[in-house]
Amino acid sequence: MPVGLPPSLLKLSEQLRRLPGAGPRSAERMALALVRSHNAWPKDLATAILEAQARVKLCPRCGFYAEGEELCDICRDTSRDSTTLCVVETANDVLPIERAGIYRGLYHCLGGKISPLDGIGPEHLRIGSLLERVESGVGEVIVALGNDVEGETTSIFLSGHLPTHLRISRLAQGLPMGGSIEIADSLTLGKAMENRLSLR
Amino acid sequence: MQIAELRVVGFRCFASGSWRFAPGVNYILGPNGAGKTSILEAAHAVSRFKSFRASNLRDLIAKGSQEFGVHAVCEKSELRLSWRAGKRAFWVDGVLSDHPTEAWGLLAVVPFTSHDLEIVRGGPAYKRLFLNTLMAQTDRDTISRQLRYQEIVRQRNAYLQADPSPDRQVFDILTEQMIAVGCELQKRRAQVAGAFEKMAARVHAVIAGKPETFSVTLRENHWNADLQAEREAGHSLIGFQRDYVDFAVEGRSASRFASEGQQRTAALALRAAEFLIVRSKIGVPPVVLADDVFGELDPARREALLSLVQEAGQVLITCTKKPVDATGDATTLTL
Ligand SMILES: [Zn+2]
Repeated sequence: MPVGLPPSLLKLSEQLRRLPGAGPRSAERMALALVRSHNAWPKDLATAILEAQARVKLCPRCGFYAEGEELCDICRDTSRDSTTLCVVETANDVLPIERAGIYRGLYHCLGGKISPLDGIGPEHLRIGSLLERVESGVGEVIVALGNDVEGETTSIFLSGHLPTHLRISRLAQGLPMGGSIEIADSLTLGKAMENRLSLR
Repeated sequence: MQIAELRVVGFRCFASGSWRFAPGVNYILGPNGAGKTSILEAAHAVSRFKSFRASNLRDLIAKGSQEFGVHAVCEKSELRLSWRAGKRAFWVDGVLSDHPTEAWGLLAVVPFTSHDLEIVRGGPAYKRLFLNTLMAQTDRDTISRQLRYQEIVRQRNAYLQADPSPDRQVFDILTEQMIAVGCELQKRRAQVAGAFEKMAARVHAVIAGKPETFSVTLRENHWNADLQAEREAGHSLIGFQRDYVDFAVEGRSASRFASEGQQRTAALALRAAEFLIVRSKIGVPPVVLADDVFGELDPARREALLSLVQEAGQVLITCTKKPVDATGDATTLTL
């Protein structure tokens, strides 16, 4: 931090620096833009942050972001194909798949991956609710967990627990080895979704 | 393969430094403690992301510095390695590499140092690492497989140490993955070990100056997973990371029974064999990084060794003073 900035500005800049993608210089620019603004924007921003934090919850059905106790937009969209579920690690992983624009089914966010190193076992993930969901009219499950060891382990675990009449597939190669869904570009992800491989 | 220029920042005893090298033999001269070995270490680090004498990249940071950087200007590309805040980063021609496995070994080097004796004298772990590294150099496919395998073993060991024991199926799934990747690696390493044995035996006899035999013993570990026994041990008992490897001179274990002279010869032979195998695999000679070892040799052995690596594109040799019989066209750099 450069010397010379008043303490409250430094404090704001330090807080902004915690945002993903923000470096020291961009955080400083953001802080300056906020304090030099003459309208109500900083206050609106603060209110928006607090409101979003208080209202945004995880969808009780699929685990994607939703408002209050409601189902998320994706679950409520009746035009989507409710016979297909795409299983992802976290709510954030839904966004790149939606952006790729190739998938019209519903999602199920597990909330993590099996990783003994992090003390995460199957019992810590939303696997029970997935098994319940597939009982009602689901014909296909696409497992989209990335191909690191944790993703692989979780995929194999799921394929052993999902009912045998279901079609189960996983994203095709095209994702970099050890890659996660979140960082893949739309084109790669679209290809991987199109060429998904059978899991059993 | 050639290094035209090597630049370092915050590396070992150098706040900054820059050296130019010519094709052929380059002598790096200077008194002890001048940092001769550190120059070779920098070249090794930018190639293999590790030192040949320190176990951690962190140890290469100069006193008082928070980070280090090594920049190598090679014939076809510029490579840069940095270590900052516990993180390694690598650039190829100025572009940050997302997949370090693709950047590993782009500059092929073969070190000849006094630490090579540890490979001969040390336990199976040293020899395994030597063969695994040789496998990565000659079969690039195995680099990501080896990393994948290590990651599976880490997860499986964490499972075995977890209390209470987690879901049994997770153990079975990890075991299955470990066997799939490990067996493939075992198969490929057996090939590497075979090629290495043949080459090292030939080279060993040349350096020894007499028909002394050199052989590799490789006993592959089993794959019979046993949850209870492995939980008691607290780590994986199956797997290729526990394969037994030993080198023998005249049929006797080099680590236990060979004489000091035989061990030195074996240490040189295994690096010379590495040089020749890598050269034939990648089609160009790797850069030889020789730390003082040539100086310790009697003229006959030095001659024999130099004749083996004579077609090296580039050799960087450190020594306190230039050997009297050094060829006239060698380049000299004095610290
Ligand atoms: Zn939902």
